[in-house]
Amino acid sequence: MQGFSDGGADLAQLQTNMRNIEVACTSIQMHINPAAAEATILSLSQSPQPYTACRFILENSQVPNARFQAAGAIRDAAIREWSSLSTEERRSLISFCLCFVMQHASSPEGYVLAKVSSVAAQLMKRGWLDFSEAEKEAFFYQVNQAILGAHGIDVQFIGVNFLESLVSEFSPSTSSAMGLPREFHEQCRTSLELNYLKMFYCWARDAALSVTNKIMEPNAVIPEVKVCTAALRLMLQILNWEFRNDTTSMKAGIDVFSAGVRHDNASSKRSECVLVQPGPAWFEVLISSGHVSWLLGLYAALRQKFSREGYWIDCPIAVSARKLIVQLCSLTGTIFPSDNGKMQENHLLQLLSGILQWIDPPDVVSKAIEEGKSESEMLDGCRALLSIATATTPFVFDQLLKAIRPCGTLSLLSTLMCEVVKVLMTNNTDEETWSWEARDILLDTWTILLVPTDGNGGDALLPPEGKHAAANLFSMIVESELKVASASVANDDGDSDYLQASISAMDERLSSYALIARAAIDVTIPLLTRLFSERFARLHQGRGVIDPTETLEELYSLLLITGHVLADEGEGETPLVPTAIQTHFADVVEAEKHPVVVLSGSIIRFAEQSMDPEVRANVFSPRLMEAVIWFLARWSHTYLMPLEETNCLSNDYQQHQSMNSKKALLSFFGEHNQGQVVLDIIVRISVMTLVSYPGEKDLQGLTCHHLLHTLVHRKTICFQLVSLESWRNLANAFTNEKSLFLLSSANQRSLAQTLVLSASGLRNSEAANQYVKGLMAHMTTYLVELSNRSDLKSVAHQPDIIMSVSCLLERLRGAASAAGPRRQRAMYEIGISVMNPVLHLLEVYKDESAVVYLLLKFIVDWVDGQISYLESRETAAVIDFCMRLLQLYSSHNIGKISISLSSTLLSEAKTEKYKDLRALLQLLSSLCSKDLVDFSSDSVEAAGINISQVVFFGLHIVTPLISLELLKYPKLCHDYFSLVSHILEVYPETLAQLNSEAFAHIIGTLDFGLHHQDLEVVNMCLGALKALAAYNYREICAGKTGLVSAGLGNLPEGIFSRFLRSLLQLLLFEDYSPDLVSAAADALLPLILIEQGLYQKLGNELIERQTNPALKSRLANALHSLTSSNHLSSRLDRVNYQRFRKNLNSFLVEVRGFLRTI
Amino acid sequence: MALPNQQTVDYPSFKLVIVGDGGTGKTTFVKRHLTGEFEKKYEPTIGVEVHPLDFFTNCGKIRFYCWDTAGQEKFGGLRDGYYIHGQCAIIMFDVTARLTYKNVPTWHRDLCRVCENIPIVLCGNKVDVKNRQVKAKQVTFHRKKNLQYYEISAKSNYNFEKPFLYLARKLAGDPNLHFVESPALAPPEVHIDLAAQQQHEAELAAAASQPLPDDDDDAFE
Repeated sequence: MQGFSDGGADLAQLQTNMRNIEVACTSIQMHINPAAAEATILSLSQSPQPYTACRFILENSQVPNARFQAAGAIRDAAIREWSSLSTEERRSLISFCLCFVMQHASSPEGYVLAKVSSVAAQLMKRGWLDFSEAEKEAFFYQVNQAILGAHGIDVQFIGVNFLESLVSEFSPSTSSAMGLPREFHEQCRTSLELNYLKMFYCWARDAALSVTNKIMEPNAVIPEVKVCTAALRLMLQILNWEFRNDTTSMKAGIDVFSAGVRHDNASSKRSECVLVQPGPAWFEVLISSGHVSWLLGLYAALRQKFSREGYWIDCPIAVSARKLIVQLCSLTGTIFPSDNGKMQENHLLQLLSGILQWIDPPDVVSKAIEEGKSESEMLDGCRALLSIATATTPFVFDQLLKAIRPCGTLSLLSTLMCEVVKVLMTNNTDEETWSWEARDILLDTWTILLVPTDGNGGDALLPPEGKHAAANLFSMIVESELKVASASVANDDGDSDYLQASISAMDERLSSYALIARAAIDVTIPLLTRLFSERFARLHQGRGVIDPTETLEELYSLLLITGHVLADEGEGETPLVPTAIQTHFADVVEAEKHPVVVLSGSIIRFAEQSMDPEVRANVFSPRLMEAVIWFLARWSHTYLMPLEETNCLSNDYQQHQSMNSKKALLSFFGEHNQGQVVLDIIVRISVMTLVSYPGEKDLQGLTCHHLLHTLVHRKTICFQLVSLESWRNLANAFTNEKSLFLLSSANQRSLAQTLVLSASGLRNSEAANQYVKGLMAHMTTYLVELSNRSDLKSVAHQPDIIMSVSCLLERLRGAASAAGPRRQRAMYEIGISVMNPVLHLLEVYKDESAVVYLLLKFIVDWVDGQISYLESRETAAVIDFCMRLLQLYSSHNIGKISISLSSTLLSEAKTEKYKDLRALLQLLSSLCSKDLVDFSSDSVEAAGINISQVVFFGLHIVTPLISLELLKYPKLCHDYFSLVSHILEVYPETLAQLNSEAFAHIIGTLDFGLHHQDLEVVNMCLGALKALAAYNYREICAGKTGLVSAGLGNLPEGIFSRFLRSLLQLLLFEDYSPDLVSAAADALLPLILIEQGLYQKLGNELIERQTNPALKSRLANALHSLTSSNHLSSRLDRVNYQRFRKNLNSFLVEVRGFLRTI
Repeated sequence: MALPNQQTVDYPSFKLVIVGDGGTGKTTFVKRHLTGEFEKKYEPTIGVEVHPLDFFTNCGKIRFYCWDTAGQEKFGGLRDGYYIHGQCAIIMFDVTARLTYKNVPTWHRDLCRVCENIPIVLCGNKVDVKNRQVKAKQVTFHRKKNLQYYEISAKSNYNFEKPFLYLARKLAGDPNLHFVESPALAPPEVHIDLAAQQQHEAELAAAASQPLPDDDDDAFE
């Protein structure tokens, strides 16, 4: 575009350019005609060699935004053109930026300086692997001089600031993209970490030291504070670096006996915690040089000044100093010598003594905050405790404070948290106050200390006083939770929704409470038992006299807490009895007196009372019932008929007695003991919630999805269930009871699934199939009869009929999704028997989109559950049915959306189509899977079924319905492309059989997908393209015709030449993630091999277009090596693909920069 | 910070910059406030779009000029050029896409370079989706950088106002400021509640035994 480029630019031209940019910048800021303004600004960075123009603006413009943009343009242009700049040009650009910031160090527009600094940093990184050590040395000499303060405070600040930019560019989490492969960034990172990082840290420390004395003097704010703050920030940033070259730390980690200090492999649960492990080289800087005491001294001095002008708890220098102190608490690994952790303990003790005054005494600190003091220091103190906990074992953690105080750190932690909980209790609001945050940090600290760290599940050992502290804290926590619960009755406003919504946060909190409770399990279980019995008694005595609402809320809360203490969630696995509960209570001999049995028993007995209608009406509110159901589900998962009931762990160290007590606990609720009775109670309660709480969707949802599901996923329980009278009652009610038809659709589906799953408890598959048939017979009969009615068309649209049909379809779908080898037969027959009715209903309900969707979803789930078991004849029947379904759906829907509706209606209609189409794509995917997973006795090919043809036929029907507009729905887009890429990879030959319209459509969507924003979609399209091209190339090599002449010659240009063009266009001129290059290479190689003539022509065109002779020859050379270097051959094998990936990477690095210049 | 092509207002107004990876829901979040509708489709923002959003507080009305920036690199336009004179910011990521969280530090660094010491809120969007990839516990970035963090769902309106309220309080320097009149919101499309959460747990447990997760229903029921 207009002459931004270097060379021949005269002063007048430069000034015009500057003015244009200035005007554009002002328009952007005011948001006037932004598109034009953006184009002007972007043209600056996109023109070749715009450096003179940019420098001119930086040096002369009065508009800071213009200076900012000019700096950005230098960056963009230089990164792009880097490979064609001379070493001298590269150096001078960096030099210019560095000199610019130093010279303008006192400029008020900090953001311009920061931008220019960052440009210097990015360019320096870009050249990092090319510059000689001497060249880097020269830059850093200048920076070091600045940081030493040779040119005054402002320049000193700028120097530190530059290093901050530089470090952030080299850190993987914040590095800017440069269009280079990852290895480049990785090499830079390693180089900086090994050779520079420590030096930068020392420079920052020295800069801070050089001004420390001045800051400590009793003056008001002095300019040096700014430098010190920046230096502290840089030090913090460096300690935040993810050190990787602490190679020896891995070895040290294995030595588990060495010390109480944890190493990085301690626990995967700790992955979220920060550990700073810079390695032994940092010992001098951080440990032995008195660094910590200097820092603590500095902060102590600042603290003295907090009351004076210019300093306060949250002033930047204080914040930075505190953060650095907290970060130093996380120091661990081989930086400490192997001395059994002594040195690290000393280090932590020193820090702790400094931090102590931020948090101790807790009551005084919290009172001050409540009276208006800032909470930041106290919160940082809590964070420091968290860091220390992360770096130590509970034992060492506790010992630290004992060196200087009579009681240990755990006691302090407990007291501190009790204080916080007290404050929370007094100002009970849902605002997230300081006490809220402090509670969360301290809870994290407990979690870190208490969570089992080793594979054998041994609970973290707390010293006796620690247990005592935990017990105290837990009782305080429960007290506060109960108080909050009973208070919640009074302020029952709409905001309670908000609290509910933060349930996942609450769940985490309860899990932490549980850890604390388990640390002192002998005390806390009896405590919970007592709290329950007090409330049960209160309900009993006050019945009909006192309003029980408060007590109910307390029980609700207690049930949640107790559920967490007694059992773990399991996360998909069957959770074991928590170790703490397994190993304690060794002195318990009789199972009935085991505290856990006592507690569980009392809750179950209480729950059972809900069966009495009168008690239910008085006591069991739907909300309390929710907690009861939730508790029963969680509890049964661990305790009801546990698998390991009989086989005991053979742990030599375990005491005989504790084994006995554990055995007693496990067998108590086992199948041969109380298990059956309890199971029966639970089933009866479940039936009751479904029948007696009409309309309580959440409660019923919990019962269906949570409690009943938990039961049927355990084989031992299923064996018992099917023989229970109460379970048969549930099945009966399901088929006959009117009220169960009123459950919400998701609950119906879930219930059907549950009942079918329970059939796995029957002894043989014949019985199981019989059971399933019996269960579903009513429903299939109804559907068959309905679809046979002569007046179907007129009655079908009556609301009650629609409702019944929907209900039955939901149930069928639930049952279909529970298919398994034992029950598959029955479900197959059920499906076959409703095939025709389904098609019938699809016809009748074609305008009732909700029903259509249910029909499709039922078939999708049914096919998915059946397909891999079917014999070839059955497969043929199912496939035939699916094709009829697809055709019918298509005939109803093709072209339907195009009629003009209002935009809202249109978008709703689209959403419905979107859901349907996703279902259909899933159906096709399921059919595809028959080729991959097949349990049948004969092969499908034998029966003359070609899955690929079937799927292509399906695709034929579905693709015209999928418009590019619909592909804007991310999920549909994803499903569509994964299906298409799968099909093209597995059955490329069948593409030829599509008619030209469907073919063009699929090719069109591939083209669309290549330019999609989702990396995965692009990857899938490239995979599809690779498969197609490779297939075609192999065919041609084998002397066959390939895809092109197999009926596809009717396209104006062959598909492969078309994709060769568009892929080259993408790779050379457009933006994409560097992660795509490998996949693109794999697609490009076969394309080039097929279309060699066109490729030559396109290459020549590219070369001809270059006017600059130097660039021309570079491009020609690069194109040559793309197809010749690394011994690239014309074979499509793995080695050759690998070679081409390498070649393409270097090719793009070499030429993309100047090709993309406008 | 009034814009010439929009009516100037006689109450305090602030430039709010919204950044974050493409597809995290920045535009949907802003549109939700403007129209109350939830957009299910995805169309990338090109460059920047500026929308005025008004809130009513106990201290009077305030306006945020939301600079809704493009998250996708290729549509980025001026990128950090839009941040200049920003007075507060929201960094958005998507809790169902880990990469969007990994990029938060870069967005934050770029913002802070241009706007020194402005209040910033980190928002984890799409918490209504059941298959979260970034758990609340794993979000630690804000702790290192003194940001406020909120979990939000543009779809269910969950915590929708919190980011604005936090920013308004910081800008006004008044920790007790509150919104007095809720802006009209469309009814939430999904409810996050105890039952759903626990149902979620159950389904996670069930997922182990089921061949294919079926997640489309959560979105539309």
